[in-house]
Amino acid sequence: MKRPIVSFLGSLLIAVLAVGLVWAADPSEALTQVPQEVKEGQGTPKKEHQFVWSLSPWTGKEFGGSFAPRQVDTIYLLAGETNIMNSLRSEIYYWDITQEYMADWFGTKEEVDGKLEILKGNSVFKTVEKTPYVYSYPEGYYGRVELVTGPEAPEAFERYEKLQDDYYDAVSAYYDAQSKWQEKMDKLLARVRETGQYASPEEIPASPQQPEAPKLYVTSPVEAFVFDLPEGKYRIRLVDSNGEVVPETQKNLVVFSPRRAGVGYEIIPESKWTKPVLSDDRNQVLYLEGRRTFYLKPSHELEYNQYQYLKMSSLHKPLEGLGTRSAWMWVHTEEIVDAKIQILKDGEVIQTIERKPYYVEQTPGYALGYNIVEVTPPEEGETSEREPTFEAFRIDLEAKGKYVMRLVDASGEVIPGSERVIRSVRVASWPLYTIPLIPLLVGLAVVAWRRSLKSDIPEGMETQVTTEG
Amino acid sequence: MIRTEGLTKRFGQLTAVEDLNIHVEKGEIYGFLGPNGAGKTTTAMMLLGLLKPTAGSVYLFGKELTSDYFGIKRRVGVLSEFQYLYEDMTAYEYLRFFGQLYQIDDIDQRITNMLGLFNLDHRKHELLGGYSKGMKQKLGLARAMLHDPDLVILDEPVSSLDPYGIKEVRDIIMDENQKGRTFFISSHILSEIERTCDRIGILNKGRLVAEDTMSNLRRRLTEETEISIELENPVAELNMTLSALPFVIEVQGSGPDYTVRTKADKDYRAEISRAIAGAGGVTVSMRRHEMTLEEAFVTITEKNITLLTKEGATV
Amino acid sequence: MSVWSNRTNAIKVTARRELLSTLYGLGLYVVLFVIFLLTAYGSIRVSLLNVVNNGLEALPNPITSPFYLTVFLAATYLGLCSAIAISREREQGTLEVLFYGPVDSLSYVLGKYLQQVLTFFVVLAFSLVNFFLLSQLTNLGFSGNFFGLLILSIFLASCMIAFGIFLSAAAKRNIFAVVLFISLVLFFVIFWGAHSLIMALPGKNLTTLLIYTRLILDNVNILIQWISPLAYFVRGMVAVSQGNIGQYLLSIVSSLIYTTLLLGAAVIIFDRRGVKR
Repeated sequence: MKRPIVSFLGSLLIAVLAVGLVWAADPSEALTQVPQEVKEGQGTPKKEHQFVWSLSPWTGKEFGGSFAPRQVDTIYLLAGETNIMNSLRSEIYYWDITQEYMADWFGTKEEVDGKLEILKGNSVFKTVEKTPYVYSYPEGYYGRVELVTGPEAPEAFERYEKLQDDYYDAVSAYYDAQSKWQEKMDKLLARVRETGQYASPEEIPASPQQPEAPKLYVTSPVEAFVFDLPEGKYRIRLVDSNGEVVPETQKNLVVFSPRRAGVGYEIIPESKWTKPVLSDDRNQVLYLEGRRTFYLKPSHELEYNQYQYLKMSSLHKPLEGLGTRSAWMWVHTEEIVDAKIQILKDGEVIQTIERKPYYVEQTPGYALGYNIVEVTPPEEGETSEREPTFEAFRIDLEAKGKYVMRLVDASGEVIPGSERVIRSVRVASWPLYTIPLIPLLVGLAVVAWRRSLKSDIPEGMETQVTTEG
Repeated sequence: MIRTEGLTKRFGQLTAVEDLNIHVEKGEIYGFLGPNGAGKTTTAMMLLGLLKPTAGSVYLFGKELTSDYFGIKRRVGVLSEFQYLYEDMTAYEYLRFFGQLYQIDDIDQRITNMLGLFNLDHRKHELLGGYSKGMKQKLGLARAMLHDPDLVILDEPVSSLDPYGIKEVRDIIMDENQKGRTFFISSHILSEIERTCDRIGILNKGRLVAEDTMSNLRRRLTEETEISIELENPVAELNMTLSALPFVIEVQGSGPDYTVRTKADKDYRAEISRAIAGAGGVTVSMRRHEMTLEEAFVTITEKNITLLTKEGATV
Repeated sequence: MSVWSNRTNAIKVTARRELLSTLYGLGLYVVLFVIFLLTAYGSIRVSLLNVVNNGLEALPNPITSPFYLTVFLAATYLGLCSAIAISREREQGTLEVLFYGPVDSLSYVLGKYLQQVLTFFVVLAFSLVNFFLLSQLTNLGFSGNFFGLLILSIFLASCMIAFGIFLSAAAKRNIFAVVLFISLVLFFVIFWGAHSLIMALPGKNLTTLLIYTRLILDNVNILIQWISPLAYFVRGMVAVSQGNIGQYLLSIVSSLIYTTLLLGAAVIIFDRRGVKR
C-alpha cells in the first residue's frame, strides 16, 4: 500500500509545487489578458500610438465606458442590448499606480474610418456602419438615460440646445423683470418711510417668477457603431473603404446573457436606516422579531457571470475580475416604482402598500437619533419644505407566524421573482439544546438492551458451565 | 476432492511452496503436517483462493475455483487456526449470519443442531466477546460445518480445547466422515492426526516430502521393527533359536522377557510365536513396537527425507 | 444459482450485518448528538441572534444551512467509517473468515457501500426529526428546495462513502487509512472555504496579491471539483438554490459516476491486496 499512497501524495505535492513555482517564476503565465507592462511594472509610462476600440456597453442600468487596447484580445457585451463602439487611435500607456491602461484623449484622439464587421465562425454575421447618437436624460443627468440614434440624434440635441437657449432667455427676462420690480419696490418703500403710511396690497407689484430650468440633458452627437447581438461568440474587425482589414482591429467578442432574472430588494430597517439589508435571491426568507417597520426598494435584477460582467466595463483594467470565472453576481437594473406591495397571510391579502417619499429627520438636541417621516406632497403652486431622503414601500408588521410579500403591477399581476416569505422567529434558548439529545437517548437504550443479553444458563449452573472449552 | 498440480507460491525471493502435488480423495480424512514455516497455511490459502499461486493449479471437486467460485465456496467449510469473530454478535446471530450467507434452507434448525452438537446451546444469546477461547474454537467449527459442506478444511481444530473438548471434536469429525464428509486437517497435535487421519501429507520447506497412509509411512521410514515378548517361563537357548530365524536381526533379553529386532518388511509375530512354541516356551504377550507419527515426523523432516525418495515414494 | 444472485445475497447479508453492528453500537448516536448540538449552537442560534439584534434579517436557508452542515459532517463520519471498514476487518481477521464463504471482492465492497448508505438513511431520519422539531420551535421554517436537498444529500454521502472505501481498500493499515482520509477531507474543506471566501470578494479594487490568489484558487478548483467528494454536493446545492433541474440531475449523475469509479478502483485494489492480514 505504501507505494500507491506515497505516489498519490507525491503527485499531489508535485502538482501544488508546480502551480506554485509557475506562479512564483512567472505569474503572468497563469493569467489571461495580462500584458508585459503589468508583469514588469513601469516607471515612466511608455506611450504607444495604438488603435483602440472604445466601448460604451449597456450594463443593464446605464452605459458604461471602457476601451480595448491592443493588449486585450476579448471584448464582452450583453446579449440583446444596444451597445456602442468606436474605432479610434490615441496615445496609450499603462498607469501602474491604478493598474490600468490610460488613453491620452486630450492629446490625441483620431477617428478611424471604416465598417465594423462581426463574424460568426468564418462568415460575416453583421456589418455595422457608423451612425450618430446622443444620450438623452429626460429627467436630468442623474435620471434615466435614453439612447437616440440616427438622424434623430442631432435633432434631439438641437431641441435640447433650443430649450437651453429659451431658458437662458427666460432667465435674462427674469433678471430684467426682477430689476424693474426691485426698482418699484424701492420707490414704494421710500414713500412709506417718508410718509409713514403703508401701501395698499394693490400697490405692491407681484414679484417675477423665476423660470424653471429644463430637466432635459442631451449629449453632443457622436458618430459610432451602434448595434445589438444575440448571445454567442464572435470575432470583430474594422474594414476600410477598400475592403481591407485595418491592422490591430481584430478582437474576439463574447456576447453573454444573464443566467437568471428576478426582483431584488434593498431593505431599510427603521432601526438602522444606514445599514440596509439586500435580498437578491427569491429563496431568501425575511425574518422578523417583534413588531418591525422597514422600507423596501425593489428593483428588477439580472444575474451575470461575474468575470464577464466586470470585464465588460473594465477592459482597460487587466487585473479586474481575474479569478471570478466561476462566480456570479446580481445586478439591479431598474428600480420598480409603479407597483404595489401586497402582504398576505394564509393566502389572504392583509396589506397593500404604495411607494411614498420619506425623509430622515435628525432628532434635535443632544440626544442622537432620527425619525423617518413621510414627505407630504406640496400644495398646488407651493414648493415642498423638504426633499425626500428616499422613496420606498413602508412595511409595518407584527411578528406572528408566516407572511408572503409580493409586488403587483398596475394591472394587478404579480411581478415574477418578487415573492418573499416573511417569518417571525421564536427565540428558544435551552430547548434548542435538548432536541439534539434524541439520538443519544435512543443509542443508550439500544446499547443497554444489547448489554442485557445473557446466556440462558439456569441459575446455579453457571460455574459448572464456565469450565467448558 | 482436492488436487493440486505443481502448486507454487513465491513471495519475492522466498519460495513458500514449491511444486506441490497433493491429492485428497472423497470421503477421507487427510492430515497435513509440517514444521512452522513449512508452507501449510500458504497452501490452505491457495486452496481457498485467498492467495493467488505463482504457478500451478488448484482443483476442488475437479474444478478450478475461478470456473465456479460461488458453487465451490458453498461446498467448502473452513476453520482457521485463530478464531476471528464479530464480538458484538451473539453466537446465534453469528451462525445466522453465515447461514444466510450460505443460503441454508432450514437455517434455524441447523443452527440449533450445531449449537447442540458443540454444547453451546445454553449460551447462544450471549455476546461473543464473553466467550472463552475454547468456546470460540467450537463455534468456529460449528460455523464451518453449518452449511453441510462436502469438504471441510481445518487448521488446528483442537489447539485451544481441553481433553474433553478434543474428544468431542474428534468424535464429531469421525461421525461426519462416516456420513461422507471429507476433511483436510492441518495440525501440530500429531497424536490426534495419527488417531484421526486416513492419509497424511508432510510438508517441509515448501515441498511435500511424504504423502501416504500412516502405516505405509512408518514402514517406509524404518528398516527394522522391535517386538517385545513376555514368556510364561524362561526357555533355554531361546536367544539362539530366535537369532537363527532369517528375518531376525538381533535378540536381546533373558528369562521371560525378550526384545527381538526384525526386518520391517512385514509382521513376523506369527513366525516368532511358532519358534517359541517349538522351543517349548509359552508366550504370554507379544507387542510390536510401531513408530509414532511424532517419531516419523521428526525422522522425515530432520533425518530421512531422502529415504522416501529412494524407496520410490510418490513425491 | 447464478453468480449475480450469489453476489446479491452476499451484498444483502453483509450489509445487514454491518448495519446492525452500527446501530447496536453507541458511536453513531454520539456523533449525531454532537453534530446536532453543533448545528443548533453554531448555526441556528447565530441566525436567531442576528434577527434579534437587527430586528430583521434576510436569510437564505436558516434550516437548510445547518442541514447542509449536518449532512456534510454525517457523510464525513460515514466516509471515515468506510475508510477504516476494510482495513479494520483485515487487521481483525474477520475479513479472511468472510472470504472462506461465497463472498468475492465485488460483493464485499458493494456490501460495505450499501451498509453505509443505509446508515445514512438512518441519519436522515434522525435529521428530519431534529430539524422538524427545531423548525417548529423557532419558526424558522423549511425552504421550498429542502426536499431537493434531502435527495441530493444521499448522493453526497455516496461520494464520501465511496471515497472512504477506496482509501480503505488501498490502505494496509487502519491508521494509515484514517490519517489519509482526514488529511484529504480537511484539505478539500479548507480549499473550498478559501475558494468560496475569495470568490465572495467584490471583483473590483482588490490588491494584486488577492487577485493572483483568487486566480490560482480558481484554476486549481477546476481539478479539485472533480476529485473532491464535497464538490459534488456543492454543485448540487447550487443547482437546487437556482432551481436548475438540468444541473441538479447532472450533479446526481456525476455523483453516481464518481461513486462507480471509486468503488471499481476499490475492488481492483482489494483483489490485488488480498484478504490476509
